Amino acid sequence: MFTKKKILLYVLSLTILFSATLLGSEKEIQHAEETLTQTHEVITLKKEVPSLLTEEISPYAKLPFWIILIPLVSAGFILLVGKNEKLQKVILFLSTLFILLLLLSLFKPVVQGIIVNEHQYKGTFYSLPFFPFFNLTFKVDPAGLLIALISGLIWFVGTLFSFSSFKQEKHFLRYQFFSLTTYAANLGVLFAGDLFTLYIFFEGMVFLPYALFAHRATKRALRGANIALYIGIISGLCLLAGIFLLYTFTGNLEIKPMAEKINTVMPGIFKYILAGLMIIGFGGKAGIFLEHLWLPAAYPESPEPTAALSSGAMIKAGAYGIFRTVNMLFVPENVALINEWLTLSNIGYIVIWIGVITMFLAVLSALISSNSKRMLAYHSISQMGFIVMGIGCAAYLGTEGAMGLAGALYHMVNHSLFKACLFLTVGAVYLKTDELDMYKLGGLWRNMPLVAIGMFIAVCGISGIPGFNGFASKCLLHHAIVEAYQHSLHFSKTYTPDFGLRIAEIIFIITCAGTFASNTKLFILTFLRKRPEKYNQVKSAPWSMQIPILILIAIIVFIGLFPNWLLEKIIGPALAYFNFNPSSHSYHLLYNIHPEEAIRSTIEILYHPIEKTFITNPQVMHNLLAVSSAILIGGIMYILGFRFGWFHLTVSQYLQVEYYYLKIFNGFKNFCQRNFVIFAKFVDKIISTIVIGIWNPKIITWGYLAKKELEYETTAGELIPTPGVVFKACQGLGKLDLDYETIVSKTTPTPGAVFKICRGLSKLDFGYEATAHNAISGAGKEFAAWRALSKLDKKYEHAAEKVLPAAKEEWEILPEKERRITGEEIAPWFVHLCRNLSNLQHTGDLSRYVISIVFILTISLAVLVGTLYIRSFETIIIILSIIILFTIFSLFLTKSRKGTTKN
Amino acid sequence: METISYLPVIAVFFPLLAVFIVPVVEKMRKGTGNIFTALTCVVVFFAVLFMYPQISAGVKIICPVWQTGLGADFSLRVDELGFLAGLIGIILWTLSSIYAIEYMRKEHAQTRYNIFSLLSLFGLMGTFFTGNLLSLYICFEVLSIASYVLVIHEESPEAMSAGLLYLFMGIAGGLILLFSIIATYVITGTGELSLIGIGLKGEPLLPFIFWGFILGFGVKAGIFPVHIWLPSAHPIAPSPASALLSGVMIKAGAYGIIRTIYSIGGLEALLPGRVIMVGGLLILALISIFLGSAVAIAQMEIKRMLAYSSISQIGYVVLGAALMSPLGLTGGVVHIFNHAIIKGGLFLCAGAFIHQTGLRMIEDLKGIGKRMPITALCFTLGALSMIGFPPFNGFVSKWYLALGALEVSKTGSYGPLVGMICLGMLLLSSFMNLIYYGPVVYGAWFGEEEEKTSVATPEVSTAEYHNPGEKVKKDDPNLVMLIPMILLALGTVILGIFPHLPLELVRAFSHTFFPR
Repeated sequence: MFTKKKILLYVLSLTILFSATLLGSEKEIQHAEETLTQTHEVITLKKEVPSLLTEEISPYAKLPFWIILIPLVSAGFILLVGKNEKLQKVILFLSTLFILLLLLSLFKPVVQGIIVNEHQYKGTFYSLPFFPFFNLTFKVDPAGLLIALISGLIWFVGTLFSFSSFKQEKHFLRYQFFSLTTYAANLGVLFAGDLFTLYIFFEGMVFLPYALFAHRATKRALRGANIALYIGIISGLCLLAGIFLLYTFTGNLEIKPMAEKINTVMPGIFKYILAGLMIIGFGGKAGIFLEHLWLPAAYPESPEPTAALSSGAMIKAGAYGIFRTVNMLFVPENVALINEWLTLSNIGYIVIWIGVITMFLAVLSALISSNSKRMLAYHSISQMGFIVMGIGCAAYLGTEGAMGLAGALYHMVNHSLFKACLFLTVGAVYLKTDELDMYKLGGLWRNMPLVAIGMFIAVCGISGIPGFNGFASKCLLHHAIVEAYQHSLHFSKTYTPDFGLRIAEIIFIITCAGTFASNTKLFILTFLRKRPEKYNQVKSAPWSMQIPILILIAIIVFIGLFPNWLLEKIIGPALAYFNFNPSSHSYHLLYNIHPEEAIRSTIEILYHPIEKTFITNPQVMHNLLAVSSAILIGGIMYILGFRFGWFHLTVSQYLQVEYYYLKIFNGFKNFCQRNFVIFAKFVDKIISTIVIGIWNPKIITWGYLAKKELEYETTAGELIPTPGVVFKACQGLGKLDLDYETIVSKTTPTPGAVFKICRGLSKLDFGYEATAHNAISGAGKEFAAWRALSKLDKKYEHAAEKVLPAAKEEWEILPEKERRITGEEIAPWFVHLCRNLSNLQHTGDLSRYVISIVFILTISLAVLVGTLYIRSFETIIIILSIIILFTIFSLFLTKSRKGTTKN
Repeated sequence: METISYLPVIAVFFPLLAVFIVPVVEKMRKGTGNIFTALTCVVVFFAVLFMYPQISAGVKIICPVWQTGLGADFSLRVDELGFLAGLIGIILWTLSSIYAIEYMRKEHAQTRYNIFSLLSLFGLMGTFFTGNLLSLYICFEVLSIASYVLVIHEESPEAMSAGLLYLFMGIAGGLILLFSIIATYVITGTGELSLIGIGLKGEPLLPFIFWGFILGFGVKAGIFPVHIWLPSAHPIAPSPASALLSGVMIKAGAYGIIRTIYSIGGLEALLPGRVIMVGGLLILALISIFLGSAVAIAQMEIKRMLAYSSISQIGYVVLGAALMSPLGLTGGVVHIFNHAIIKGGLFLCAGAFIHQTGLRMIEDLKGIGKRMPITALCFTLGALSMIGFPPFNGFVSKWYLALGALEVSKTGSYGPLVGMICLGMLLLSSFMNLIYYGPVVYGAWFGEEEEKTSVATPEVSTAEYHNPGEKVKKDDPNLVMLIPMILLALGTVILGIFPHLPLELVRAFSHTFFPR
């Protein structure tokens, strides 16, 4: 099949391409070095952050709050409308469109600034005294607004898409209700002015999307939604712990540079713990490595628009949180502080590696998955890795990190656009063909040409083809990592750059290549190739599905062709809010002028923005070289992958994080269920023995039996994975309650066999024993344990007697001491007392009971009086006297009752 | 500042009066006893509510009732803590009585239930509104013994054995409490609860007296080693009574523990020996929190699960008190209020499930959201609040408790490590709450469409099952039962967003012990 020659050819081409990559990036590094030496002058400029628009100055300040309220109000409206689906759709369309327009109207006050009383205000601030212990504050700056805008757009198209996709789903109302409330929570996270407000909305984003993921209520959908919920909760708790630490130690939760304060009150490793808690907290939503599990689990079974909403908008909130924490909270306000910058660099270095590992491993997983939504989920994780890496670069480079942050912000926008487009196109295909496995599709471009074009453009976008949007942001991110590598020599003692970051850069290129290979595979397998016959009659997607796709591809192409537009309009003003040195190399490369003035981007991504030159520009050439090497490697990966079947590799379960998580989680649950239940029982026995033993020493024998029973429980607990459940089952069977059969069959791995055992046990039919032996190995022990258990409780025996008279004999031949002493044998007087008390319908009994209460109270009072007057009484004697009196009293009651209860 | 008012007298003794009227009313016309009980609760509720202006103005209400001539009178005194606990107690009692009108309609021995419900109410209000240890003890014992009858209401063997344990524990705890009370009177000659530290400082017997109080009150509260009666007694009672037992009666114990630490012992006296006294209590609280949640995970019966959850939650309250920091105390007391609302609502919802469908097992409650949407919604809100999601009221408690836990190193009561451990335990418990409340909630809404693969019912006619045209029968109970549940569920949200009412009073209360 494969000649040596062919393989040699492949290997040769790979080597050439790798060296080409290295060469390409090497050249760029040299170029960067040159510019660095030219422009690098350390000028510390204290930027003047423009004052915020407050409530008193302009009504605009309240607008973010109203924007958050609109989805909630319209969610209420669609609930009120009830069954009228048309009206619901109108409300949904209008409200999402209205929010998008309102977000656009925020552009002026936030980004351009408005002048009131001859003073310029930029950004809005609104504080709402909501909770008595904390105000809800809403603060909007260009970075937040940018992500809010893109979220608004994604929600608008996602909602539009859902109108026709929900013809094949149930519960339209429920889905839209939770979609709108999640929208509100998402906007709240982006507009939050302090960490408390942010946390409130962030938790909303944990539990509200549950309904979106679990919508279809199949087993796999529920599993995915549960994983999302559990990871969300755990990361939310980490975030909360971080917030508590921050608040207790600094007394402030405002999101503003406060590295000085953190460094003074939380010295040493504590500040890193704090940073780690916050990054883990937000990373759960962003899907960083080790917290990414929920995306591939939850997406494939969720309704079509969910994945677009989640990948397009929701996971950005996690990245937004990381970037607020890392690039704002841990940044020193005073630029001259070296120690604080070093802390930030350390955090940034870790974040870079989190991003790099996330992007690389996720793209590997994407390459070998055949379910298209699962594949796209892995790509979401991978692209979040790019964003996180950009954030990390910005933190690592400190005042020089403008490029990293610009790249991260830019990539957030671009990822939202092309990923939403990909999910919508895949969804459109799925709704028409009912097939998510891309290997079973093919040739569909004839049936749905517009969808095919949409996916083609989105694939170009995600692969970073020049002329499409991904190219610009990936170039910026590449610049950032190269700069980080360059800059790393400042942090080393020997003044040599960190080779690890060079490796990170190579991984970056390879990841781009993998992204290209994997997405091309998706497009070719779905739309090109030969069409399977059963898809000949597939109709085109309706317009309500195609319009959202059209909107998205229009924006993708626009940004791709004018990459500097977004950088000038909104990312530039956004950078002004962060502590970047305006005269740093990155800033020069990006803007080349002081950010306070009208911002003009000068970075040459696709062309020189001022001179409008295209090919002759060296910077553009470097960008093109880097991307073409990535595309070439990607192409070769694609060909080799198909030739050698690499796309069908399966990963051993030991290499999957999920395996270990499940082990830990189940281990914890088992620990609670097994060990702690036994412990609780043990405590029960001891305390009840002590307390009841005071009244009757005979009862002490319980201790022995309790221990015995406990032993059996432990044995059984070791034998079966979910002892708590099985125990319940046994108890139930003891009562001959056959409802328990259902439970047992549901909970244990081999229900048939276990169920047989249980039934055999309950009916004392030993014929079942043989069956059980045959069914599961080791059943004998289990059976013995259970039988022993059942004998320890006379209650079961009584039940058995009814079924099988012979059982009574068996009970008789048991050793005397193994019989359980029931309450009646131990304390007859007390049982009678109880009976008295339970038959209180008769007035005579009631009076007796009232008398008894009065009696007890009188005794207590008498003793009190005694001690108060004669202060020398020994308290122990008093207690003893009370006990004796009480016992006599109870016996008196019992005796009077005995005559009547006998018959 | 103190003022004399007769409102507490009405609140405490009106139920006692009503005890004698209920049988008469029931005899005159069948079925009116339940309504009369509810009306009594409403009267008491207003009596408590009218105290609010004075209490919120910082005035303590006192009222000497009966001069015993024993050196200690039976006197009433209401401060912020007592008022808050009494208010939530009577709110829950009123709602539960209204709920019981419908729930108990077909039960046996309704008169007995009503009589002992009112008697317990007398004990509870007395516990919260009394001014000294003698009167506190009397009311506390009445509460213990009267609520026994509520536990054994079903009269099944399980109920009897659970009640037996409850009675034994209650009496044993009461006796230990009596020992401590007597010792306090003997040593200091007073038992006034208005004091900040009753004067036991430096007393060699103090640890014994302290642990006597803690065990005595702890039995009722259900903290770790003496909680054993709780998981069997709470679920076995009829649901309205379970709501009361888990919602407010265990709070009587928690109230006592707070009084013990802050009024009777006093921080000054307790701080030197904190390792063997309050520190030990802190450890017990942490064990309660973990053990309650851990065992609740293994439960299959919904009411039993809720009972174990109560052990965990009462651990929060005790933890807040034992932290000896202002924010911790605030969190603990606020959690008395919040947990009563949440757990009361959850028990009423569980009762509605049982009453309407007869299903007790969590496994069987799958898809209940389709059949009983309103009840399931109320349950969901309660469960979310229990997990501690903002903006539900459970989050408010969690917030204060966690901040209080981190505050301990500032106030000097414990080191920072203790604070971190407490914080970790609170967050872990939140997660464990999710593990056991989660399956109920998402089972209720999303569980029904799962394919059934059970052996016992091998072929559920699938065609019928997937028939979309089929209308699901709504099983929600009638309004009499629904309104209390809805009010409590709304309460979790409203008190989460506007927790001012409890918080302001609690702050005033904690300022008396932690002056700025």
